[in-house]
Amino acid sequence: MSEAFLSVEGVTKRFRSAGGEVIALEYVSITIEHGECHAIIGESGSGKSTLGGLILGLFEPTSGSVRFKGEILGPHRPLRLKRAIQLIQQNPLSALNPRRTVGQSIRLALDVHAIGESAQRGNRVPELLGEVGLPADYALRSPRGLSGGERQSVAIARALACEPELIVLDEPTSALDVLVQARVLQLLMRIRHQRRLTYVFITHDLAVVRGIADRVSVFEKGRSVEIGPADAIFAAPQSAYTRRLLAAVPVVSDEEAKFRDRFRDTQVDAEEAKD
Amino acid sequence: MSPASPGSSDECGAVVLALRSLSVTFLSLAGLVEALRNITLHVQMGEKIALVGESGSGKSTIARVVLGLLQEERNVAVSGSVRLGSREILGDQSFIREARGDRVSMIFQDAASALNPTFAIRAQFKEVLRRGDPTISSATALRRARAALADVYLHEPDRVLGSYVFQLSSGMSQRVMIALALINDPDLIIADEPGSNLDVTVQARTLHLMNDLIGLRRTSVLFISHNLGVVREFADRVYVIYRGRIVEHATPAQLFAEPRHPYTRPLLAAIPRLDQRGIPDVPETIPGFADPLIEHDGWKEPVLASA
Repeated sequence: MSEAFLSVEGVTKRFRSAGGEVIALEYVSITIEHGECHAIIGESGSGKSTLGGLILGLFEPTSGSVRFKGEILGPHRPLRLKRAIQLIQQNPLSALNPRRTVGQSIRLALDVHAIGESAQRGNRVPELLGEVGLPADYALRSPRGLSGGERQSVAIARALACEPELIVLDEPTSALDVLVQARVLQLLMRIRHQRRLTYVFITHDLAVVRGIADRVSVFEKGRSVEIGPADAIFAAPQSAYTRRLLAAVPVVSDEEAKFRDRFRDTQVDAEEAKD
Repeated sequence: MSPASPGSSDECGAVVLALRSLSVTFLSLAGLVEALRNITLHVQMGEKIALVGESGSGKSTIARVVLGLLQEERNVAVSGSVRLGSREILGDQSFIREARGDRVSMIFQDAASALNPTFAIRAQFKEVLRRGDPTISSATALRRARAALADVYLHEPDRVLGSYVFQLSSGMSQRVMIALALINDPDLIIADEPGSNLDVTVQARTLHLMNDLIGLRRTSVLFISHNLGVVREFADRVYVIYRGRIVEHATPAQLFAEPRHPYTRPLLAAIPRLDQRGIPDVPETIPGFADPLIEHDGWKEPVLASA
């Protein structure tokens, strides 16, 4: 049997805090397949960003393991794996050094990971900007002078510079206005197609998930409560928690309201009445 | 106010808030920045009015003018008219200073940062209650605070009153702020992105709770939001604001069935939908202002008696 693309096997993650130990994830197992867009959904404290951090190899699981094509991920992973798995965050300003120009940030990613011949790297910068729909002269600009959507596009170009295989997207469009969000999502989906990328898409926005995800994992308080194809989960969610999430989404049309209100059953009403 | 009988001012209730040709210009180092141009809108008693727009559209600037906060700043030019009931507030800072927190109050997006971190919740209730009634006794204030917390379903009012904001969850803080905003029975509440930083289930509960409480009191609300789903569920009428100007005015039903302004159409089309796979196409460029304000059938701004 061939190795899984990405596998999370029986992972528990505890953090020590002032008030004692916090269980961020409890015995979670997920397999991510090559080329899929896998959405991780849940509310704050569900453990979804902790899972993202583990997939990036930023910290060790307390128990269990996370493997990328068979290799164990963690803080001591080789540079090659850091290159292969990239992160796009909600706030691109925290990902881009404000003292570097856009071009310098992208160039640095190329240099660190020794992508291509050194002499050719200067040419790659305008190509990458073009790939995300930005003009070449943006290379000379500071990320501070860009709009939110442009900054996110730069962050995507910098991630692409590393020629990743997997991108973890942690609420990549949550801070953007709706028109800009649609443009950035279009860009992300086009790039995924062109480069045959795998996405782990972490978000609380279920309508965005419906738009883009192939499969969905639902997290509640550190546990994975439901996992399956997006079509199946949106047609007939199995867990009460998923139904509750769906029932709470504010919608913009009558057809959408009709769709959503199927999840507003008596159980949901009972939950809403609770403090 | 039912959408079936809009418009003519004799059928309408009392106008609680009326903006007429409000323009705001900031004087910055880069020159003059026009934040609002010719804003005209009104809110009647008991109405829930939404002001919808993207970041930078000027919607929060409107809130600051109505609360009298902007007028106290330097390097701002404000012109036009803003009436709270029958009183003009532009140029009358003492009136709006009195009215703030009493006749008009505010619900902010982030309750945790809007509440004072250095005082227990109890002290903040007392302060707000004293704005409404300077002679109120401590015992009465405490009793009213407990009742207000019970109204927002906080079942251990004494524990909440003794807490500091960092000891409360974000949903609880939001409820405390709603209780504080309502406690002096204001004529108007301005709610700036209420609950938009909360989890979706908590947000839904918070908004329904707020909606029930203001419905009981017939309080008027000016909702400021970028979330059109929330607007559809809660607003009686909507003003769409784009780059400092009102471009469309309609009921949510009219707006969502038939958006007319060349800005509103792509804005609505860009919203991801729970029942559809795929991402909507949006145009690369959004048109400018060749088009005038579009008022849907029946929605004309009422003519106000001169003060």
